[in-house]
Amino acid sequence: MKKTVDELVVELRAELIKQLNLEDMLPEGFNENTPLFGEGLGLDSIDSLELVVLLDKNYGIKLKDPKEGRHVFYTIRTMAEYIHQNSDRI
Amino acid sequence: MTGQPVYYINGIGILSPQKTFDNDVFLAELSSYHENVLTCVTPEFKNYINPIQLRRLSRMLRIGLTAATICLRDAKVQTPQGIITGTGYGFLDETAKFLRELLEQHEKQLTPTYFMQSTYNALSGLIALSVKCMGYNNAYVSRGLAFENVLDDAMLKLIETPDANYLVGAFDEAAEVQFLASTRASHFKTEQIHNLDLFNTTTKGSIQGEGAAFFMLSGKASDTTWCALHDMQFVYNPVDIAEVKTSIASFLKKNSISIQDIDLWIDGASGDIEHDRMMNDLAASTFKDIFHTRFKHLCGESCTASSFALWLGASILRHQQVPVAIKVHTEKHPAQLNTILIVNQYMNKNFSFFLLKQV
Repeated sequence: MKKTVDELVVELRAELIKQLNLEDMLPEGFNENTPLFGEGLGLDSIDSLELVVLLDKNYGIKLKDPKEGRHVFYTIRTMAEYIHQNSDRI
Repeated sequence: MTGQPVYYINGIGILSPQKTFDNDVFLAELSSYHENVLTCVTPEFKNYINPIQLRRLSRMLRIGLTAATICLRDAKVQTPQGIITGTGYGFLDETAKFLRELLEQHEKQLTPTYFMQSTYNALSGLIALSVKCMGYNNAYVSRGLAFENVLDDAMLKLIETPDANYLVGAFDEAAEVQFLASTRASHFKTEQIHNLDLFNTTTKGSIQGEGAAFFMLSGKASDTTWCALHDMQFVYNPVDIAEVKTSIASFLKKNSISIQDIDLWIDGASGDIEHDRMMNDLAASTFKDIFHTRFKHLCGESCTASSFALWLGASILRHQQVPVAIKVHTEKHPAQLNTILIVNQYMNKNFSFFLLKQV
């Protein structure tokens, strides 16, 4: 059975913390709607590369348009929604 | 005056298997190891590296960046004119992770972090980014003479610009993959020993060490100067002990000093019954009347262990104190320690000499 967006949110949160070593630096009030870049979590360009690899490796999604990435990687929830719509591995 | 340029060590930061990250304390308590791998005693990294940066760094990059930060703070230099690092093997653990992922993922979907952290110049680049240093940046990967090549480069640079500050350093990690391969090749002992008993053993091989050491080198002394590095020279693969002795004699002559002018010498014996033959010969002949110290039982053997010796020599001159643990004999040392000669060897092939003087 296909995973729901909420299930993907939980899964992605755990995966992001592990992959990007965010264990000790999650800001107070961090949730699935906190922006990942800029004033939110403050991720950088290397992190965005890690996220592109994560989408490909775990969900079989190849992001081809860099502009698309800006929307997809906005928050954990936007990532989960995009994966839900585009992945055939969930 | 000899007319030779003099280089000043204006700051030091070192992380090693001993508690060396605090420059105010000089080997007050020793760390001892009951296995043949000595790993770094580390401070709280958060005190030296910002958390955003810290989260992505591997253990060895954290150690290297912390040592560099301690050195910069000690020298009161915000941005040096150049950064030069040396390593014998680089970041072997990260290289192994990258290669493992390459195999497991069939060369696809590789994460960038492992690759970035496995390159030899990752540390010098990281330091440059941290302190916004746009100047000279170089990394030497020349096995047992890596640190010596770093110093050579910086010393040449300082002849041209004596006022400049060059952050020079070395790092090598006690990586498991290297330990296993080197133990098979008898470079490390197969029997378990206690590190402080290293020089009481009569077997082949040494013990594995690691560390990162940084020095602020300049042609001008400052109020943070530890000592002066008058000269450094290295010899690769000497034919016999006679060639080593001739090289030492010409090195001293070039610097207008005699053996008797040396107050203390630091010998780079590694506890390997075969590799230490030349060092033991020097101790019994050329330097038999000179106050004698050894250090590799404290830091272990690595390609860049000479950087630990340079810190040791600078610390002895600064503190005017010789820790009991490094004395080969128990005789009293000279009342005033002004001149120190370091004679290091790695695998009985790479020999280097460092001449240090009090300022």
